[in-house]
Amino acid sequence: MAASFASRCSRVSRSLFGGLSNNSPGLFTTSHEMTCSNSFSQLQQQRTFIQMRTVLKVADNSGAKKVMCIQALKGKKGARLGDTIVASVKEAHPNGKVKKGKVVYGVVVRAAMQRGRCDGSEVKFDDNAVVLVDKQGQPIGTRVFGPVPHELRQKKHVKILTLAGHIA
Amino acid sequence: MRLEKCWFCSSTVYPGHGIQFVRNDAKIFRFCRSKCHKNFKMKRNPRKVKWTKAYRRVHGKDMTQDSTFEFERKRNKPERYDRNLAENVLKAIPKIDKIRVTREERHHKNRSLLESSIMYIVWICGTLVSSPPPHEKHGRRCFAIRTSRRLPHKDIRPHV
Repeated sequence: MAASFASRCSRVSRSLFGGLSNNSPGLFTTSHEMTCSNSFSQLQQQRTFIQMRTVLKVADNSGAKKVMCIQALKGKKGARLGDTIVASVKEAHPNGKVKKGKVVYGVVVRAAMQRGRCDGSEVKFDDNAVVLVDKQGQPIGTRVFGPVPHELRQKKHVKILTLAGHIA
Repeated sequence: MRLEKCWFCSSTVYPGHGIQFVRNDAKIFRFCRSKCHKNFKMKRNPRKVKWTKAYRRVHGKDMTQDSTFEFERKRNKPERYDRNLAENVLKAIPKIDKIRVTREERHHKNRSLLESSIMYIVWICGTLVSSPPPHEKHGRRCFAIRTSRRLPHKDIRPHV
């Protein structure tokens, strides 16, 4: 919790580092120490789209742990909450359905960049996370971790919503 | 449509305003404006930030328990639409608001009375303590405190 807040303190202009600084505390503690030193002069962090080279967390049990976005399928500037991306698996569990280096499709279920809702409010999450899907849009894994937005219903990813624990 | 409360300052968030932050443990924080959101990101505790309702309640500046607050409790069960019920509720809302406002004003008035009388008592006790102790023949030292202002009714004292 503290690590995610502190990592938000550093100003990053490109989301190349955006994925790195939003990580779970166990993995990237060294970069967190480094960014904390120049933190309080620029307190606000600019959150942008999910684009090429963005590292995202995987929010299901398909076997992958981290994927790097190769292509955002819709959108000129990048993917947002609820969009699909093409990604390459960078880190995986030893015995899982997907292996490291595989090219997969994913649906963005949590994005640190705020997304407008039709009632005028905005939602933002704590990190960037995907759920891996196949070409037809069906999730590869059987469980989804963490909260998911109900924007997925409009994008017709009903299966992910049924698997989700919390719907934001 | 639901009128939410800002997590930081406890003001109402109307539709179309504010940002909603969802943490990974699925706790949702709603903010009415970026001022509250930025304070949250700075990890400030609303109970210590003077202009928030949380601070005012904790420090006894605003009243905490009142029957008018019961009407604003969050209800998650949808009510079957009844035209008479809806009409009565709409008529009652301004009345309840007025009652709450008058009670709050009374609380503020009593609070200023209480605080000034406490100051006066502290001053008196202070001067008595600094003077030489009374004769030990009298078991307990008792004195009558005469305040120039009336002490408030006892159930409006802020609970410490």
